[in-house]
Amino acid sequence: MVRQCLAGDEAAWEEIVKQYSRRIYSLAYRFVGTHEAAEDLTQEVFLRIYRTLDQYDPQAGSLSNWLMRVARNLIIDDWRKRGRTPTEASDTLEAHAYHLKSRTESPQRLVERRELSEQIQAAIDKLSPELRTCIILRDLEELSYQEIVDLLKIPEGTVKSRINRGRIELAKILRRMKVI
Amino acid sequence: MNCEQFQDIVGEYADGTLTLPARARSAEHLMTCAACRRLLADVRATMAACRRAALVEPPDDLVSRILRATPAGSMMSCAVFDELILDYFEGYIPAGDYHVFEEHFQACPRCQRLLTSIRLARQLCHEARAVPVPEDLQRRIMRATVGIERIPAHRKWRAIVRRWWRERRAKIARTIGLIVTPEGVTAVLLSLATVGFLLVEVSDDMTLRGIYRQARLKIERVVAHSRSGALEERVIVSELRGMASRLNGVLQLGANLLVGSADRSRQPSSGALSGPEKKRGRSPRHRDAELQTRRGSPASRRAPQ
Repeated sequence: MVRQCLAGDEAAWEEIVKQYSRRIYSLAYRFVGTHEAAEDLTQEVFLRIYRTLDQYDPQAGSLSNWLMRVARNLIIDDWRKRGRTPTEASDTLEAHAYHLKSRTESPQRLVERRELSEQIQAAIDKLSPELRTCIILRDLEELSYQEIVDLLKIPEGTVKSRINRGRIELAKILRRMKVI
Repeated sequence: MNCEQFQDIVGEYADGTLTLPARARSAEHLMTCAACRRLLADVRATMAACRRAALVEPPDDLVSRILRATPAGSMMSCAVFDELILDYFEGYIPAGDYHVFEEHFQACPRCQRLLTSIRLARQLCHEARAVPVPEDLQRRIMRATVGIERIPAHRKWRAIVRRWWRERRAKIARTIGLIVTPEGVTAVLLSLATVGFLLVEVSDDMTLRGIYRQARLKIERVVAHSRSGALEERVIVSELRGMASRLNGVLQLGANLLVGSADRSRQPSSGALSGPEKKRGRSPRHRDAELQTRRGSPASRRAPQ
């Protein structure tokens, strides 16, 4: 697929964009906190991915791993540049509802998931930047400790400690919000 | 384990990444502590909520927006761009590719730098003055390849003669070496002296044709006299003897000159003389006497009697 893209096959590129835009958008949204900023950041990430697509080596790992690694690095870099503060949360549930896709899930499940997503985001935004990063990478992105160590370049003990404190903090916040 | 210690590892406990002893101590504490059980339940619930809410639905137009932002130009990889650079400078890029090439150039700082650098380098090469060629380089190349350089017409004959001489000088030197011995030089000089004598004494106009003409006349006169009986035999004999003695004198003079010059040329290199001659240690006077003997012999042998 990558070879097709590099040969100028727009359909192959469209397939990659469709397949990974949701994951990358979600990650961006968790870090930046608003849909507009997440949309811009996702677009920026895909632009960057396409310019470096010829650097992808199939023998070094799957395309999915490579893409998400590039995306994570770019999103975290962007988040650090922004001073580790999420953009002012201007999204309302109604504004976001406009973007929702009707998938195979029932409308009720979709609404529930959408509500939960917004609540989790609101709770995560209340965490300190260090705890938030580790929680997003561990509990939303489901990276291993070692992957987080490699990505953030901090000691494993610090990573574990931040994940632990982040979870306790997040649990308290969600309990106050009556989510759990 | 107390509550504070458990709180430090509750995350790892939930992840299941604790060591077995730590996990056993934690489980023991949880058995007795309701607050920590509640904490663990909350942490697990939080993790589950995060997993459920991990994916956010992007806006409908996100994909189309991304595709619009990644036009054909940015789809070209830098490697493909690099391959087209040569064609770009040659002016051979087809119109369709050129469009993509240009868009990639606008979008990619790396390729902008590369192309600008190449353009600058080409310009510098073009502007650089040609290195002056040494004057005799062409001549040396021609000499080393075809053996003789291309030269103007007026110098051509001189070059041909030089080449002829270069090719044959060794052979000529060998031939001259054979001739330039005392015997060879003596033979040549005596021949020349004989011809000279005949020219002076016999020829009436100092030419070879004159020698032939006078010789024929004399023979005719001798034949005529002998027929008529008017000329006595002794007159003819005395005439021939006089000619012979004069010729002998000329030849001896030439031989003296020749042998004298040979002596002079041998004297400095006397060390190279043959062994027996050195051993004998003969005095110069003895040598002169021997030379006189030698000088006399060829002339006397050749002299017409």
